[in-house]
Amino acid sequence: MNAEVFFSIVIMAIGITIVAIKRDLMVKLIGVGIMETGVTLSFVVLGYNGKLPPLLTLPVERVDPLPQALIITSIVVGFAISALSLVFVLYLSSVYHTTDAVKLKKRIKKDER
Amino acid sequence: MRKFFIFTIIFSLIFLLSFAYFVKIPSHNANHYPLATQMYDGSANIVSAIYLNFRLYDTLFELLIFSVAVSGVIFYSKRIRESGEIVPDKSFLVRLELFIFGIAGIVWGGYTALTGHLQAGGAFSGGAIGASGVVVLTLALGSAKVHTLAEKMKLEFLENLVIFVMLIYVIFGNIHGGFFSPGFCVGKVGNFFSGRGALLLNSSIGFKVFVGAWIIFYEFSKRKESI
Repeated sequence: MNAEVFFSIVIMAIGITIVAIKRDLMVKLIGVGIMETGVTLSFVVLGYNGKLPPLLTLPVERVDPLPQALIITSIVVGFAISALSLVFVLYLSSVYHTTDAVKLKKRIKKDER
Repeated sequence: MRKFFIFTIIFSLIFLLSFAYFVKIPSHNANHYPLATQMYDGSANIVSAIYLNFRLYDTLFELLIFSVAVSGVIFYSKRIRESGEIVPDKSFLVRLELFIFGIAGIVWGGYTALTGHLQAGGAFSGGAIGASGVVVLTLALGSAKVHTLAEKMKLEFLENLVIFVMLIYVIFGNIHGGFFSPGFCVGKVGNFFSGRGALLLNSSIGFKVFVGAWIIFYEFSKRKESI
């Protein structure tokens, strides 16, 4: 197995672990960001073969352009999701004065009663 | 429930690792897109040809997601208390430096977006570089001044029109004899006017990302102390 693929999966694992274990919503969002980085790295590494960038003006030996085109979409969607989730966290913290997921749940339940 | 969740994650990670170790992914025909780009698109940048031509619907829906995110940020941030605008630095020298860097960032972003079909770069990276330039400019002039300028130029309204530009491009492209018909506006590889509608799409998408990223930054900067 490629060492880079292994490391990209390790980075994904770190992100998923942060999302699962940490209680703070801001830290969870950072975990999602790290996970996205792992996914991006895995795609780029799978498409890379040590050759030149995918430009037609360069000689024929080029890397596969498809993973790079897909990753552009992933990066922009990741940015949009981060921005939207951050504003949700900001809104929740301004209403309930905490970013702790467990405390938030308790306070929302208390409010509903 | 929590333990089950963590167990599922660990199991799927072990599965992923074993998949990466044992399974060899066969390499697909990597020459397909370069050949298709040379014949049907004309862009020098093959990645740009893929997301502006062969997979245009991907880009269209990606832009829709971006629009939804920008609208969501504006909608929810109106419900959060404001904590003040960004004020410019007191030192004239620092302000001058930031101003020059900001303008340079915007110009560089525009250049990267416009020449996205000729070299590394493109609409999304160009828009992001331009938005970073505006953030630097904000530190020089103050966010209120930059926002007033953006309102005067009706940037938010123009940003919303980009989706319609894309829709019109897709609709007319699919009509027989339109943008997607073979040989339409392909141009010579490496020429500025090549790559079908690359120039129009790169400039409009770059503009949308530029303004959208600036709006997101501005809304967050006004509420920086709410958290």
